[in-house]
Amino acid sequence: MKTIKVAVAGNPNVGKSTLFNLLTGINQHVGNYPGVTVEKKEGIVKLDNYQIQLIDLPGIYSMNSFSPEEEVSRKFIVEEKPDLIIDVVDASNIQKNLYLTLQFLEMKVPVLMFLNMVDVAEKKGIFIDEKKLSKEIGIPVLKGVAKKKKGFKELLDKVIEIYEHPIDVPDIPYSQKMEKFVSEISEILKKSKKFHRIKWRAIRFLEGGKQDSKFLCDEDNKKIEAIIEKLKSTENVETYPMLIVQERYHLIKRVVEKSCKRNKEKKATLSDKLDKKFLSSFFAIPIFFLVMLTIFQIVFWIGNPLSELFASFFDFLANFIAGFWQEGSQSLIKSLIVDGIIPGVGGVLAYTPNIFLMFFSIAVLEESGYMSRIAVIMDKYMTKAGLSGKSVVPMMLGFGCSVPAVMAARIIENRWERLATIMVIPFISCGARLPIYILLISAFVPLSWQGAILWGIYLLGAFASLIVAWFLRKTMLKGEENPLIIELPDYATPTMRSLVLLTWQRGKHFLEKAGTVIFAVTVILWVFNTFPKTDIPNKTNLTQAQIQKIESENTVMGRIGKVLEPVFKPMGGDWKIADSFLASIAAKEVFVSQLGILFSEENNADNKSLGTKLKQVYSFPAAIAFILFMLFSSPCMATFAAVKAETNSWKWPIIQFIGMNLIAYGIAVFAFKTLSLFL
Amino acid sequence: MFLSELKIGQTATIKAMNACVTIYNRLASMGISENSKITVIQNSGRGPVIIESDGRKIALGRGMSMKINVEVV
Repeated sequence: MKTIKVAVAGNPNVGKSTLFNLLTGINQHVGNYPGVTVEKKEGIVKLDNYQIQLIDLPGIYSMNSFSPEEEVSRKFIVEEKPDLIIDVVDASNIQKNLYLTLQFLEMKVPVLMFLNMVDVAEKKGIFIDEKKLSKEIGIPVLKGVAKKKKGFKELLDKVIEIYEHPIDVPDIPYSQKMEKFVSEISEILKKSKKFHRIKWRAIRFLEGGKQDSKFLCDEDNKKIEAIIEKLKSTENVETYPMLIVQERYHLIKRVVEKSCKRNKEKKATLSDKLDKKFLSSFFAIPIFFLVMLTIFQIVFWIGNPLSELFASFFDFLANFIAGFWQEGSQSLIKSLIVDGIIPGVGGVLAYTPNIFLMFFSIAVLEESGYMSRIAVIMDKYMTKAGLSGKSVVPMMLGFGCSVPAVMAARIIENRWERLATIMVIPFISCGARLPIYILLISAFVPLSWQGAILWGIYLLGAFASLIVAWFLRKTMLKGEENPLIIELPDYATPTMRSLVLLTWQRGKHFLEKAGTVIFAVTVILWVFNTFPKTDIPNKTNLTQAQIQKIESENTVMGRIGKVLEPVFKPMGGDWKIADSFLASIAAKEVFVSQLGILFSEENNADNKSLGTKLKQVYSFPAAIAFILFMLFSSPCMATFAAVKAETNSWKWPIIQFIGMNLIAYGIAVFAFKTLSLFL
Repeated sequence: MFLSELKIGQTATIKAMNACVTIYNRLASMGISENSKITVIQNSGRGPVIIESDGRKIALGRGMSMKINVEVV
């Protein structure tokens, strides 16, 4: 069997992924390119005696390495040398798409063009003569409609045909004067004997790209500079990259004029009409909030009952497994499974419905075309914090759960901006912190003020995230200039198939990554919460709760809590609070259950609620300090793992961990001291 | 005049773009370069300017739009 390596490439929003998904079906593998958070999708199609290995490159506009996506694609083509590129082109927008095609040809890779969405183009009155087009540009061209699987058979046949009978990659005919400069630089590059694809590299120099200069000696670099200076003076321009750009567009214009016909004037499309409303200064914000509200309703109103169902399944499982042992059994294995792993891992897995609904909603936003509108609408506000409109969606998701929010930050192209967003997401209060706020607020705050305080907490968190982002962008994460440049694709109805596929591909990561870390942490916490065991004499004189109290004080966790007690004193806490905060590193809501265990000894008889018990021990300023500490302190282990994975380094999660705890501690202590003065 | 000063519905030709090489090439690859014709779809005086060029809609940050010289046709 022969293997053919084919890259599927093209601009964003040309139906490239649809083509890839429908060609490969479920035979795909999604991973990441090393070092960057760009998804790498591979799939295999078997036909006759051939195995066609398809690689779905990210959607890009050029090979100039503006974004990680472009960098990845360039590297792939240079280093992995695919046998062929299937260049997916939107038939209604051919003049725009050809720019990338020309760059592929400059790299001397065989290209097969798939003219996609010809049905839509024809409805718009655009007719393309693919034979003429093929002749003009010098590469094979096929028509099709990826959504309807039209043209697939011909496409695959052609791939095999080209593999068996390789085609010549045509030279792009630039103007004579340009060719002169290109060949002069090519000469120098050739002499240096360091490169392949000489002409492409020569053109890169004329585009202003300096990537190759570091491989050349000073003398050669000076020669090239002199050539560029000559070009600048003969053409009398300062921004010389425009010359090659202009030549490309000139060429494209000629090709399009000869092969395309447009027999209808352009009409305002439905997309244009929708944008009039969605982007108008009056409706944009209300519509945006309505959309976000709907997503929250879906994620939490539909998600929560489902997640409770998951939770009760884990309860059932714990009981079921506990049933294998005799009642009151002290078996460690039983305790590890029933008290450790199932509540710990189950506690996180219970959020699976919310997470998947969240990813589903993001997929809908992306596939429908609204996502890029959000970036536009919110840009003017976010630029004040040193971020751009693209940070909005990840940050909003942070209200639900930091893990998918951190993952969603992938949509931000600029590295610095993405890092800043990831670093501040945990300031935004996630759903898991809600039970803690509710416990403390309902115990310490009068009923009429409860709602306002809760709102205040959420606003404070969001506000803090923007301030910290601003600070980071001014200091550690300055980065380069990064204006918003974003294409607004036509609105489209997403297909269920693509939504499900996208959701699964991303959700799977949550299950894998968060799941493994949580499992490990759960086991460690269980060990700390269980050992060393205490031998209590005269057990019969004590209630079950009292025994539990003595036991828990003696465990590693209890002892650490005691050690940490002085640290939490200045905010009105004691070792129990220290312990609960420590335990909440596993998952925020564990704070409540840990407090519950530690306070369970206080007289079971009068059946007081946890809140009432807390009120007897802690003051109001202390409660406020606890809330603030919970709001600002470092996120849970799963988020830590997600930040580690997404930034591909230990540095950022550790900075986040330390930085947030310092901020939280400062604020909590300050709040406690100040409030104590007045109350 | 600058792109940022155009009103909704106005069509203009780009004369010069004052951007670093990376941003310049990015814009160029999306079809925004010298001599391309653009029509303003949205410009509220604050926030991004939305333009259309050859059937493709693109939003440009305000700061960027103040660095693009245009001539109204």
